[in-house]
Amino acid sequence: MLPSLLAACVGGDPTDTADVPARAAISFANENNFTFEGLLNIPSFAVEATTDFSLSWADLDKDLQCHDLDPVADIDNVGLMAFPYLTEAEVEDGLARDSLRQVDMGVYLNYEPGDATEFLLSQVSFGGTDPDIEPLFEDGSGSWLVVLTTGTGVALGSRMLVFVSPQDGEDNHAVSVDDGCALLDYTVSLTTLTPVVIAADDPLTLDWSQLTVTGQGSPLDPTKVSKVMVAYFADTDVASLEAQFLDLESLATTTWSAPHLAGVQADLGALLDDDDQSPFPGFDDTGLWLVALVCDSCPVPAPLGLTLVTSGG
Amino acid sequence: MRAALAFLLLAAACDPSLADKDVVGTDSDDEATLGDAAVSDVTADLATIVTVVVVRWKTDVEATGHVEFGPDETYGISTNTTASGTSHEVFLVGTAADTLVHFRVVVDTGSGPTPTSDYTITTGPLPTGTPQPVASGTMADEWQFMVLPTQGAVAAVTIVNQVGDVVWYYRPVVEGGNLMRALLTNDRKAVLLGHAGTQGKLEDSLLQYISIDGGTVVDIPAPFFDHDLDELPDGTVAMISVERRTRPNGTPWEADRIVELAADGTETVIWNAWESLDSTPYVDQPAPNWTHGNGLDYWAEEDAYLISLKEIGTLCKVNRSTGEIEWMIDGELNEFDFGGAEVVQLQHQFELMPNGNLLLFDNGTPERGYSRAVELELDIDARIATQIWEYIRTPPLLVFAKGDVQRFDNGNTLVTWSPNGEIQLVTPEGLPVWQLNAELGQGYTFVQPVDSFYNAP
Repeated sequence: MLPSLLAACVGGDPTDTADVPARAAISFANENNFTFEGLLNIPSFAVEATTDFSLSWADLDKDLQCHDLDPVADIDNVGLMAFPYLTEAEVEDGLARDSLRQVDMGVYLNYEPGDATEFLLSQVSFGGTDPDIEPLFEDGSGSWLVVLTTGTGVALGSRMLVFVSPQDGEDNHAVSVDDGCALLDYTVSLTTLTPVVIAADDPLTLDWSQLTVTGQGSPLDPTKVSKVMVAYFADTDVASLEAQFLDLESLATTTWSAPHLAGVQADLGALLDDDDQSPFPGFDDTGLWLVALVCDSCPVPAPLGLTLVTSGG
Repeated sequence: MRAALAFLLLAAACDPSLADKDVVGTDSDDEATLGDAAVSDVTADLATIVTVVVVRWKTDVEATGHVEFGPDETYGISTNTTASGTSHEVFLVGTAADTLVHFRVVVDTGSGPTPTSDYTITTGPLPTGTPQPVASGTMADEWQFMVLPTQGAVAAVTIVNQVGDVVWYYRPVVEGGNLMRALLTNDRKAVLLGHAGTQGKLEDSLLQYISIDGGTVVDIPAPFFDHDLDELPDGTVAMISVERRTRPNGTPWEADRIVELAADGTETVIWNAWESLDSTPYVDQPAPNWTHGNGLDYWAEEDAYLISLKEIGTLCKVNRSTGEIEWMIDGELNEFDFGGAEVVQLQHQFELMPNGNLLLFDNGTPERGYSRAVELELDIDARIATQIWEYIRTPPLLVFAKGDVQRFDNGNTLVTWSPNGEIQLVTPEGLPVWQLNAELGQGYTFVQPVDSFYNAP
């Protein structure tokens, strides 16, 4: 699989696409893309300013996508982010739109809990530096976001988000979180997109060079597409998928995927079944078919591109 | 070391299986007579790093040559000249991804340079995950390119142009590596990476030379390398290196050295904190490294080093020949009178300027609440430091680790707010005129502005 992707994407001459007849690739363009608008409602807890506090996730059993979560096995890292010049609402909006810059985050500190399900402000560090953070944790110092993640990448793999708000005169020193289901509101549209129509003899090359806007409405950076996925649903309809959007992968009868290394084309024939690793056999006219362009390194979990594929004869 | 470097310099330009010959030109397959030489077999391939183009050509007689290239037929950039011979190869570096490059070969048999007609090639797409910062504002030609080591969600080295386009990239495949430094080498043939430990073990620290075309990666174990390195004019690498000893109570204890790694593999300890400074006052401190070297520069004009020691908060000038400390400023071992001005707190990178002034990234403490760039005029004999310039970002940032500064001939200063992923070019009046921002999850370490990939000093 990897050699074929390399041949297609890394060593390839981008000018090759100009020599290929238009129907040689399955074109995924802006009109084919879904739309996704997410709203975050991150819980906020007041704690005493400039003082140590604890945050426990021992009872957290559902993450922000309302998926099951094991508080010991699934939380690898606690990130503490200070946004000194943003309100909590601005942070929520920036996260939902994926529009925050690193400089918006004044401080990033972390703690790797191991098997623990609680952390203290005094335990966080920055790499090999252990700053005395309590003096900075003062009333009016902006928004402080705790991010519980699977994996240790900064702003990646988020499972739960919590604001802690330092306030003078507050006597609370302990925060506990137990449910992320109410955190994410979203509106998704699959029913209004224009499906990609393929012919029976079309080669399995997907081309998204004409896809310039993500499902979230942002300009598409092609280097963010890290995985291409096809999902087949044997017995459902589009409206049902739309209603259960966060569970698409688990609802799918079969999914095939492959990492994407570079460029704006992918050989779908190189995708492998995520269960048995068998190659993608191609589309047929049964059930429902989705193609997704996935970004594994983006804070927002929704795909960058998602469309329906139908057979047109 | 010698073998490794030789391998780097002699290695093939790229894996032919990954490079397509897609040169488009009027005489790419034909022989053309230019002056006294017949030029043939002009080819252009994308290198392993697909923003780099490898141009090869042959001449029927001994000749030198170079390539002129750019976005159109006015070109604008010239490569270095090849050695006299009949087979020639150069790399075209400095072009963004997915960009059309015009180029022509210029040959010289001794009777004057003669160019071929125009050829074109398009550079390839950036690999998935390549960090792409956003640049804004305008600048004079303080530099043309900048080497950006990126930490955080992505470990990568990119080289960007003035508008933030990535023209070179490398994603180190070092499991658990801690990328601290990246330098375009003096000869412009490679990028040197310093990884401080892998999997958190400083014993496994590693230097890597990445050839400019990306086709060759040479790993050089550098046990206990930490934080920073520099390259001397002869290619010798100077680095901060930790030496472990044992406290009186039996627990491990560390301090820093300046170690040179010569091209022949010879290691020379230039300076050792254990021998040069008194560790006694720090024996009960919890920090594992009682000096915590966090910045190193070679000062060619005086054949000396400057090393910053964060735990002590002091910057030392070390005579390279004698290994003796000539002066110390800031922190616990400060010898200078600041005249009541705000003292520097826990600095990182710095620059000793030609006029003798010292430019520093002053991290500051949580109690002070902000970081700044500061310029000090030094009276070495009288041990007087006079603050003559500072820059505090609006709104302020407190940078816990890293931070970098560079001053240019026009008086503008580059200030790198490393973990905050922002680099600003500010005027002497403190007005930001250009800046570069990383996306959320990505920060920088120390950066290197460079003028050109050619005509290396």
